[in-house]
Amino acid sequence: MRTDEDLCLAAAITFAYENEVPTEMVDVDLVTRDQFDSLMRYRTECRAKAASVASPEYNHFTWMSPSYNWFKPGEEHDSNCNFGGNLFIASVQGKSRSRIWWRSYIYEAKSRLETRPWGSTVTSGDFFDQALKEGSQCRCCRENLDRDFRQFTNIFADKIDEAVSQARYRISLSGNLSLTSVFGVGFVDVGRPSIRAQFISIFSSIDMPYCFSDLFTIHRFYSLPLSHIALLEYHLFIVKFIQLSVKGKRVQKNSFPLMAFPHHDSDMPKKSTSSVHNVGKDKPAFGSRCVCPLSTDFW
Amino acid sequence: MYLISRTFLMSISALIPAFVTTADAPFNLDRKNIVLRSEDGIDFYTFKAHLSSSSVLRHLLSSATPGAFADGVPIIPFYDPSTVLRGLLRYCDPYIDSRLCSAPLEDVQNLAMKYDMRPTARAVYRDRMRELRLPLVPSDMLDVIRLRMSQDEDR
Repeated sequence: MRTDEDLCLAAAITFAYENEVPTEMVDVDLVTRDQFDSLMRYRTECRAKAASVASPEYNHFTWMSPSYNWFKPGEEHDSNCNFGGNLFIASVQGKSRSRIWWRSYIYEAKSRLETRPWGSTVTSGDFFDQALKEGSQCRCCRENLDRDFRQFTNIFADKIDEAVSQARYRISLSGNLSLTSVFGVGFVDVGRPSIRAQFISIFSSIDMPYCFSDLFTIHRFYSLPLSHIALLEYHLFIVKFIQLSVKGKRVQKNSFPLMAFPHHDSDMPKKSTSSVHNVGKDKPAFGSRCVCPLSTDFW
Repeated sequence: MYLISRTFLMSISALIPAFVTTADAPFNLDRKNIVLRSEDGIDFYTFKAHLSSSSVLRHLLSSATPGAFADGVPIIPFYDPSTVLRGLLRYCDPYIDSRLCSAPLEDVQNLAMKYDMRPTARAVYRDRMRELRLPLVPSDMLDVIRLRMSQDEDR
């Protein structure tokens, strides 16, 4: 169990590094490998979310107000206040025109948000001062610039925080889900080294109602988090799907559904007829004798 | 030439009792039950229990037959420089303020990892990261991440 302080430190370290984060924190057991992976993915997602506020799709800034001075038509600006490109604002019809100093602020904000995805990144710093300085050189932009620009950046920062809060922290499963093609055996290798267990199911012997009840047995037995159980459920759906598509013969309903394990060579499918089409026909019945009960010493 | 002779002298001197010195406080008290002799011939008096978080050292201390004794306390030779070893021992002993550690924390952490002392290495790592003065991530953001991570923790 990690302390909150450790988790905070790990998060702070992850977000402090721009690119690669050294895996030392996993080596010294500050966080688990899975948590580290989740953190890295969360960081990537946060950065994408934050950057998307500064550079939205189709250049359409839905959160912006069109009333600022720097969006006024070009004729009102000084000749040295250059045109900075078109953009779309909220529900305003047609294109709006921006100034180059504003545009470079937004570009810089985007590139900074890609490493520091939080709102306060854009409300201060040298590029913020630079924008204020350049904006105040134009007769039109200058008006109420200090107040307006600060208000604008505060809304900008709020929107960034809002977008980042929508990033999802996904629990990482170092295990993977794969269905082997040979015997129709699905392996689900679930996560954490401490509770690593491999669940094997043979699809011809699966019966859904049994499976779901057994998932909860597994949940209790191995104290697996429910997210892993969800993965198993997903796996079983795939298995069911394959079962239906192959239309292989069903075996006894009362055979143990999830953890059937072939004990004898005769339980394996015959090699000679193992073309895709007769997989179902030749599949031997994985019956009650290849049942492997849930026992801790087996694993 | 100077370097060779220096390392040679250092390794030789650790073998000759006349050249061995006792470490300064707090590793010089005689109420300790193990002596670690660094490669440059400094004796560190400490408790076995403080080193027991390391399975490597535990094995080493229980299986090694000490060739020498200092006041009846067995001496275990180590092949690590005294500065780093002192730093490590500071982190091992809960009653010693580890902030006074003068050795580079990275070396101390590596030494802790060498002897498989995860908790100690973690403590060193924490201090090292705090020293680095990482860019300030807003605390509310950290709180959110921490909450999500602790939901992910098993049990």
